[in-house]
Amino acid sequence: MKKNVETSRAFDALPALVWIALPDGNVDFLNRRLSDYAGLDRSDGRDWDWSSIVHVDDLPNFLARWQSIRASGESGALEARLRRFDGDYRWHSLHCSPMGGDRPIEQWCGVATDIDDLRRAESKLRQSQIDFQSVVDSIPVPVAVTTPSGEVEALNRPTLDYFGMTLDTLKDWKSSDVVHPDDLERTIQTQLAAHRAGTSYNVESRHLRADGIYRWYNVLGMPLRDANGDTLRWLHLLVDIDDRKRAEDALRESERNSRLIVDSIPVGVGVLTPSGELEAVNRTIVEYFGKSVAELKNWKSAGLVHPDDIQRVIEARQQAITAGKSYATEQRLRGADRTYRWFRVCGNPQYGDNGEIQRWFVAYVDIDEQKRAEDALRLNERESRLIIDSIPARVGIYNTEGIRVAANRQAIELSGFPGDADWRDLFHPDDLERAEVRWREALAKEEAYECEYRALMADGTYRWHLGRRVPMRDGEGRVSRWFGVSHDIEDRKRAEQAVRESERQLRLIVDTIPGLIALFTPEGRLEGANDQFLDYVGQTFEEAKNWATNGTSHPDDLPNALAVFQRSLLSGEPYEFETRIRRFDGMYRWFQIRGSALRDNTGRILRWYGLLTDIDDMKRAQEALVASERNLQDTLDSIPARVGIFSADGTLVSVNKRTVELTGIPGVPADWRLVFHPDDVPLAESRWRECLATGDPFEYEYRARMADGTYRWHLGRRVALRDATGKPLRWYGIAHDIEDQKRAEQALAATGRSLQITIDTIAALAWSARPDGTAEFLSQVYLDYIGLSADEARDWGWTAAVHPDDLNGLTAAWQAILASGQLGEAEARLRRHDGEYRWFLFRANPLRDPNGAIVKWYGINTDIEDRKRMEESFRAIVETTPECVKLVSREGIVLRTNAAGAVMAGVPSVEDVIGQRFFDFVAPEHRAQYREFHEKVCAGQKGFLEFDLVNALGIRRHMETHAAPLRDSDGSIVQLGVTRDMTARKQMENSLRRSEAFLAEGQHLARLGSLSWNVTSGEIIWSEQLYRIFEFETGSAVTLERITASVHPEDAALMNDMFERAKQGESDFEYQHRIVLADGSIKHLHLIAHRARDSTDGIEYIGAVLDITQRRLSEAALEKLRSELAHVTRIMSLGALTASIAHEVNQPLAGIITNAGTCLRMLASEPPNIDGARETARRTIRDGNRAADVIARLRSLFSRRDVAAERVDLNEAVREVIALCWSDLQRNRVVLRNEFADDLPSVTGDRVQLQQVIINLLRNASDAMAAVEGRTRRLTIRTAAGDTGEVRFSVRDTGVGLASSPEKLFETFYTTKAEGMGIGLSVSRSIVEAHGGKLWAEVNDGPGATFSFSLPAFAGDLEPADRQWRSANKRSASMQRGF
Amino acid sequence: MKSPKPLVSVVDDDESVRESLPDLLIELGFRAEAFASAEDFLGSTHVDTTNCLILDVSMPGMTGPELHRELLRRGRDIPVVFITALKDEKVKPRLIEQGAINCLFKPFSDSALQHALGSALQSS
Repeated sequence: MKKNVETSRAFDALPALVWIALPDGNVDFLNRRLSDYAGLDRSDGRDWDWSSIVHVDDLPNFLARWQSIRASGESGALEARLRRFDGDYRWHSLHCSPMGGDRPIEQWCGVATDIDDLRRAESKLRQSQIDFQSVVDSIPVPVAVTTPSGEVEALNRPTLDYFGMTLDTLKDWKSSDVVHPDDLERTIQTQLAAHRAGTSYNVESRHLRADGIYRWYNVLGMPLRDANGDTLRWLHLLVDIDDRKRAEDALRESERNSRLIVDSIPVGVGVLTPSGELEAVNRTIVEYFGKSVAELKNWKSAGLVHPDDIQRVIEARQQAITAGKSYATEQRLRGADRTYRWFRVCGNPQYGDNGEIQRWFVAYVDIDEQKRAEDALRLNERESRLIIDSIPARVGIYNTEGIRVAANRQAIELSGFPGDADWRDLFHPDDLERAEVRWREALAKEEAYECEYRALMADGTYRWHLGRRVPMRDGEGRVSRWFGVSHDIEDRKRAEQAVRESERQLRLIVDTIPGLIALFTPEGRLEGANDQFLDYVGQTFEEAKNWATNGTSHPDDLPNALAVFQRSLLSGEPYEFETRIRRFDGMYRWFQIRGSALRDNTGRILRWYGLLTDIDDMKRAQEALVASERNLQDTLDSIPARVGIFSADGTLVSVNKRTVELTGIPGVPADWRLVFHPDDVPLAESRWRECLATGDPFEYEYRARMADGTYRWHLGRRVALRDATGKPLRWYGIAHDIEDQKRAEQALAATGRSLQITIDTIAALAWSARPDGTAEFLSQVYLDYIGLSADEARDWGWTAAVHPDDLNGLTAAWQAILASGQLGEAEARLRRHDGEYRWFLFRANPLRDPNGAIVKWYGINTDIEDRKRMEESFRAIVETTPECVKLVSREGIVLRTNAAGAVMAGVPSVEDVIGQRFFDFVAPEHRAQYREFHEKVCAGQKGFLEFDLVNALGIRRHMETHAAPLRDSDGSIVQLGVTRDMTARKQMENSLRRSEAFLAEGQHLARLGSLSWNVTSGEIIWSEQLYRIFEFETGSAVTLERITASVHPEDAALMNDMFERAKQGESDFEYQHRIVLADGSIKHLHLIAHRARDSTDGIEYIGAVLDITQRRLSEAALEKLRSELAHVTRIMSLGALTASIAHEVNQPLAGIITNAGTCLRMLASEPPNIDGARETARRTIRDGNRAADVIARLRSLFSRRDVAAERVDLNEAVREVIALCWSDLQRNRVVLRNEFADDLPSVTGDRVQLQQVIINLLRNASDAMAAVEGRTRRLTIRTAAGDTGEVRFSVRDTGVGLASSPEKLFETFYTTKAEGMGIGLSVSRSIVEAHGGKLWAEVNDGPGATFSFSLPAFAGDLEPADRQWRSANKRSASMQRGF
Repeated sequence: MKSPKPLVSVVDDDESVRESLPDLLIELGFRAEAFASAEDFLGSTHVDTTNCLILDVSMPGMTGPELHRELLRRGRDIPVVFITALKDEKVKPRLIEQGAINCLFKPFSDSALQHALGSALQSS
């Protein structure tokens, strides 16, 4: 196939990778772009195959696919990575299609499109999706991801766990499957709204958990947007707020409860704003007034307050609100029934945190009955007053201090003094003292007082009176006042005096006869009369004899008087009658006349005596009383309540008119019982009898029969009216109609029923029970929970839901609560409708009627399962803890303990410990101490004690116990102790103490101190020995400042360097420095510190400080010795050398001289011995040569050198040198820093010679810094591989630097050192050069100089180096000759 | 008959001394015998006939002073003049103290030797 040029040009112009292939798959043509891409020569096209550019991993697939496309004869696509000219592979999509419409196909055309970026994007996307899923999965709360249309896309693990479903199942779920029906609508609406608006939403709803329980969740939803702001998906987070919800519910519940309580109390409550506006009222108020809160707001004008009270009430309230103070008023309020009732109204402000008034609480207490009772009492008092006033005797009322505070009319009139006048003014002065003494006694003893005295009358005269005063006691038996009654006994007194007089005169009249006396003959004729009699009647004795006919006795009374008198004369019996007797002035006064016969020894009547006592006053009083009683009856009749008067024996004497009207029974009923409802009679009767016996007021509620035959509830009260001695004279009874009140109570009971309905709507397990304990009512929630119907649960039916194991305990607890009549609680498990038992707290509260009797029990059961579980797990913890936990009673008895307690006591089980005396386990010597500790704990203090315990197996253990007082269930305080066996610890402590002591002693002996230094926190801890070394006070705080202050000034730079390195956290360092002590003496210290490996808080070093003063001093001495010795040795060795040379040379010299001497002698002898001389001269020459030989031999001896050409590791060689020079450097306080290159190539040469060079350079550097003060003497040794295969070594110092040009240094005999010979550097340079290297010096940027040399690296083959070395050595040898 | 010339024996490990010194001694009017070591001398018959001994101090084997002590031990109090190539001034007094007549440091003059021998033979 020929391609024309046009075609290929066209292909070349295509902006794509294009190729043409033959039907067999072989590529025929590549366009320029493809060949450029692959970096191929265009001519390669023909014999080119795909394997050269398709990635090896993709090739098999590629070829197979290519094959199949060709086989199909249809267009096809495939993907593969194609190699670019630079070696990178990029993904391409290759489209192959047959060219033209020819069949059979002659050519295939392929186009490759770069899809690498797409691929990458795809893989990134995949990765990001994986990332997204893993992020979602890692969120610890349920998360759901949905598409914008709401389909579930992803759910994380917590979600699946919560719902107990797999992703596939959950995906098909609708909200209605998981969201609580009550929350569903709201949730969906919220979510829809959020989706529409594209904004985040937040909704609280209950979701069904895998176990079928709904929990509250706060569902947070937010849209995830792409860069364009389009919502990609929604993220929904479910935050568990169940606990919060429950708390809120509980709060609401408690608020509702308190509202219920407020509503159900029979006291009206109103809430006012700070300005006094009515804000709210409770139900009692609403019900009383029959008005709403809004209506009640206009209370001032609504006529709710009695017109007589309104002004006063408004003023009081306004005043209180203005002043911000509590107020109380009493007022009549008109109820819904249009009647007024008295209320006590108390207003109290409630204050806010800042003391401002937030609102007012106003309580309305119905005091109507109290008011009525008070009215009745006032009425009663008025009656009493009336009665008292009408008593025909002086009556006085005294307070407890004995002062008269009131008197009756009689007293006032008779004395002419006001009622509150001092009673003493009424007493005759002669009687006063006696009376006062008795009165004080009586007051003190609270006993009745009685005294006869002369009382001042209005006319200024005195009359004898008998005064009695008795204490009146109140309900509690305290004396509240005294009642005094004085009877006029003047007449009696007078009579007494008269008798005494007549006795004197007649000797017949007995002392005791008072009054007017008349004497009669046995026949009844007047025989004598006393003066009083005659004075009274104003008659002479003769006139008086005709008393029966002259009108002395009132004509009306006379017949009776004569009849009695005659009868007595006949019978001889004493007589007594009352008659009016005319006084001298013609006035008749009532007299009581008593007479008796005086008989002689034989009994014959000698004479009759008659005593006439003026009872006129008494008579009048009796009459007044009758009148008063009539008066009283009128008063009683006007009382609009039933009033009855009872005799002292309880018989109904009279009733008031109202009673007659109400009962419809005219006059005095035969029996009060007739008006009582038959059912109320028996109890009323027994109580009435009791009251009659004790004199206590009688009070009873009963149904009274009305005139129309109906019964209405009444409250009857009967109170005794007492005489002066406190004896009940009669009883006054009053009965109020309380029918309305009763009805109200019943209404209240009805309200209680509505409360139950309310309870039903409360989501709590609420119930009520009858006083006998049987269940009366269970709330619907309760019934639903236990899955029982109301009928099933009634009475004791609910107990079926109680866990069998808890039933007995619960029943017993319930009986106990019932018996106590007090609020109580118990715990038990309740079976839920689904069979699961959960722990509940049963709490019961009694409801009482006004008489205090329990009407009903109300209870609420609270789910305490979680708390119980916690308690159980807590108990499990206690059980498994290896420490003994125990409760010990005040008496020392173990009440409870855990398994560890049994182990501690050495017994097999806990039961073997409980009931034991814990004291018995305490080691005898610690027992007293333990008792004291135990008593202290039981007295309420916490405590800690270590003691020894000897257990049942007789093993002694050392224990420590922490104890706290705990109130036991019976209220006593017991010890809660946690006791730990610390025997092992104790032993450890002991050995630790011992070991520490060893260490301390060891450190002391070794003069070694140790320290820890936390660089980060700055905390430094020293061992005792270190304090001793520094001569610091042991235990005093150590700071860097303090240490620095001790350091020798010359070493300060050294220390600073160390601090710097430490701050950088170097792994370890070592320093020798000096410190100056207080006395000026110097110590040498050697510090070695390592960075603590496992320190978690910053950089921390552990170090040791050795006092090397002694060693230093010895070293100094030794060094001195050594240098001396070296000097001596040098001299010695030179001497030895010289001697040796001399010996060698002297031998031939000796021969030469001897021969020469002999020769001369031989020549000088006669005849001259020529032959001998010749022989000796010859020997002289020979010895001379021999001497020269010796010299030559010496020369060769000294010049001979064993040169070593070996492979040298320069780093190692340097390290050896440093080791040799270390002490010198230390002595010069040089800080050495090594910067050795790793993998440094070796060099070739003589190790010893090279080391001499290094020593020389180090010494020079050290010497150059000897005079440096105030900065660190730092020596930096560096090795490095050079760029051109050489190895470099340099020594950098911070010394004085170079004084002249560097090159001059290397001249022989040039020296800057006072002691120097000036040959070191020149020798060093010649050695380095002998090794084929270079040695040079440079001035530093900073202080000091750097000396370096470089050497060729070891080439791997010793021979060439050796060659080089040998040739170099020749040069070196020639140079040596030049020294 | 004229009394025979005194016999001076030379003991030295140095050959040139053994060669040259006997000639000089003869020139000075002595009879001379030379031995390379102390052992050779002790093994010869001249131990009893030698009038004066010129003895090198340091020799391999028995040294000069040792030979001197050996001779004294044997009761042969032959006057000894030490010679040595090591010029150690401290050695001389010690040797004289131990009974040597003198100690000459090599190389020594013939007159010094003559003088020393004179002293030695005079003492005997």
